[in-house]
Amino acid sequence: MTQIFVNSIIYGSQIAIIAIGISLTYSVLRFANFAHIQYAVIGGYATYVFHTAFSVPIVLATAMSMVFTGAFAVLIDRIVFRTIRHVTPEGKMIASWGVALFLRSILAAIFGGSALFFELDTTTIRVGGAIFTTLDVAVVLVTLCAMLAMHVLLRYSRVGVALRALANNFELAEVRGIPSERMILLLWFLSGAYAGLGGTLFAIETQLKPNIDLLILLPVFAAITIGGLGNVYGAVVGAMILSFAQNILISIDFGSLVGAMQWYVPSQFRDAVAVTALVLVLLFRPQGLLKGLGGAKP
Amino acid sequence: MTLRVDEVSLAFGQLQALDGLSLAAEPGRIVGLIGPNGSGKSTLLNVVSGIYAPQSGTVHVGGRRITAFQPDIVATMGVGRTFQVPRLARRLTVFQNMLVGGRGHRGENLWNLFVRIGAVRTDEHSMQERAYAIVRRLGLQDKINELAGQLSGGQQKLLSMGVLLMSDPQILLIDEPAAGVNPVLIEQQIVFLSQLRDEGRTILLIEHNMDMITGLCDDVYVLDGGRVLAYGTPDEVRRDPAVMQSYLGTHERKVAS
Amino acid sequence: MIDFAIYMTTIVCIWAVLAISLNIQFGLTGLVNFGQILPFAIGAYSAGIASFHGLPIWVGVLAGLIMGPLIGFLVIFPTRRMAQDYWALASLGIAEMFRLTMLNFRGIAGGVEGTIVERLSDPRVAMAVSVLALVVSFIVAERISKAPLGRLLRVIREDETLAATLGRNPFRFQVVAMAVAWAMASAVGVLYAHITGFVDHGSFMVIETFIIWTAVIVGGPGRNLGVVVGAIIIQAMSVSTRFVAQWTDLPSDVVANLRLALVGLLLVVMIMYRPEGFLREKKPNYDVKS
Repeated sequence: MTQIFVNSIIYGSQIAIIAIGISLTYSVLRFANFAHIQYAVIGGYATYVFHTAFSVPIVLATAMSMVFTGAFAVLIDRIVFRTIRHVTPEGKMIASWGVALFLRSILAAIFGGSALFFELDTTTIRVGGAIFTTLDVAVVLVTLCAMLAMHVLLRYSRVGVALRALANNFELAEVRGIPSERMILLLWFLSGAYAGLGGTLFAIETQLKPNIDLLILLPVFAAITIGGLGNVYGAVVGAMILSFAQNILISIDFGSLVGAMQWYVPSQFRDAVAVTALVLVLLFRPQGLLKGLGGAKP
Repeated sequence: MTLRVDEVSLAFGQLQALDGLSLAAEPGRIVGLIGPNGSGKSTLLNVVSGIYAPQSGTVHVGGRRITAFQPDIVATMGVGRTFQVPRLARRLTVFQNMLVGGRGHRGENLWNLFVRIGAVRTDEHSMQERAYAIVRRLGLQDKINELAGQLSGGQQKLLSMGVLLMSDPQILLIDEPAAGVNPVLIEQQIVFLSQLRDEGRTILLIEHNMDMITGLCDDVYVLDGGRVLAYGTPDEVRRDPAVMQSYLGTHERKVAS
Repeated sequence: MIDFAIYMTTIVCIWAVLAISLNIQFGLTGLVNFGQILPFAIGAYSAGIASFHGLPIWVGVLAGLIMGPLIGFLVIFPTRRMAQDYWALASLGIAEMFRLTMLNFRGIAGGVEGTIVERLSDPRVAMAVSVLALVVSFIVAERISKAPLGRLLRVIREDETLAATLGRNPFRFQVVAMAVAWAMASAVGVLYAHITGFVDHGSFMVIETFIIWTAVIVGGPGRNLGVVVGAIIIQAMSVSTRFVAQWTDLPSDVVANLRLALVGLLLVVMIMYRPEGFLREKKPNYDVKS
């Protein structure tokens, strides 16, 4: 039981960090940015390159990668999204798919399809019945710090006030003198940086391949849908709900429950669980489970 | 057909948009709805046309209860409306918009398209003739092949009135036909609306332009805070002190300055 | 060379039908279906499942033609309650759900290994059937597009509330559009299975949906001829990169990735600079005198 709890927390953290960025941009710009997933993968590769090719220590490499992906997200905004601000949300969403397809293919062309691994020294820890590594602890701690930092930024800083004002009523906030374009730049930087961090954590825990985007895409979008599109806090809660649902479901012995032989939901069904959650939430509560619990209005 | 609204209430969160509002409109009469912004005029139109469901109260049309019916059902029962900001298919032409206004076209049925080709053609022909007649009445006959989104604001209002007429509604809910429209087009609309009244239709008219209200309306309801503040002929309402205070006074001062 | 031309024609026709199908949904009706590969997969898997369980071919064909529109109805149903961008996510999710189910349940149609389907042995027959599928789809789509039904669907695309206040139930017409579009796509799905002789989950990834989207956006949403041209452009691009791979010394997987990058780039550039596509939607010119 403790093991399920631990696994859920670790996986949920990785998803949450990436989901935060999508919710953040959605809250102000009102479109679901599919390219965000690629920012995460790029972040993973950037960290890898800094760490292995330039022998930068992993923590510093991750920080550098965050700056890099943040800047990259800003760059993409300058080239693409800024010129289509007036386009319908559907149009922007489709364009973001184009960006995603482009980036993913370029990454695959550069790095090839084979998996890369961060070879970090880790120690195994046992607490009660649960087994995890020092790396897992680090991942969860970093995630917690990042979430806390985002919370402080959004709630207590002037920049956060401005961002929330833009999220609530863009035109009104502009009229009141909030420099919207500069705030949007900051928004993209933050969003990209968090994607870079999330992608790095994801890659460190598993592996680095151009097609890990497919492993990230569905759970992340399921998480933000559960939490309500555009709700930053909802994204975190959604990621945790999803992660627990997935891990609990694949560890229940359904066979014995019905009196037959042991049968578990195969672990490759994790994604199917995410997709099912996404579809069910959309069907029965399209505004998300957490509408009205702080954060921006969806 | 008579339109009757009884004790209708609707709140959005803390905001009480309609607060036990009742009114009635008879055929062959134009009923004006005035009141400050946020007094519930447009919300009332949305409730009658089925876009919002009221939390309590009823709406009757010709004796039939239509409370909280879907907008398309309300429309097929003979209740048509325009919007404050004209709703049109902006990337379609004026004439395409007009043609969609008419209902019962057999060419909107998939089966007919491939099986009853002659019927589709007949319907299209008669629909086009009707549309053209209305377009001429509105003076838009030279614009039929222009995109609706490229018309001026006033022409868009005229067009949405034309689209509305295509369905031959017995009850018309008209939301601010004169706002932002040049005087010539306003004059044209006044003529137009009084013709429609003389045809025996029921008209509910939201308008801020007092000349239009006094010139056209048989009765006027003054709304404030989602309730009826006053009711009477335009002249009676004008003299009502409560109305002067809440709405007309401020409005006329604004016009004067 | 002739063989290659026959093969190319076949493939282009199939993708053109998928593009026409998406055009009916998006270009005409405004439905942002991010799971357009699903009806195609349903058709192909109908054939695959029939073959996997030893049923005759006609069972698969019939199942494909029925299941496409039927599942389309289930997918469109939630759009009554949600905005288009949410529905887009839902349709993406449902398409993936189907693929993951097929991938993970070996008992349905072979799971990860896929299943063999009886193959149309003569490529010229395959080509003829594909061309026929395209011609029929095109005629149906054009008839709808130019008819009063198409006019109404466009109004629903522009403004659902407007259509409702004009006395039309937008959902009913969205269902009609969906049924026609999905019937086409699942029909070519069945055909595709019998042309390749093999069905597995790998042909129905999310990316394929966006290749169809690119064809529609490039060609011109709302214009059937446009999206057919779009499908030709995309397929021609994908074939020509194979020759590029032969001329240059780049490894084939790099070239394949660069090709996809080009598709993505094209999609972005079109939305930025020419969202109406190469062939813009035609504006009918009425000439009425009375």
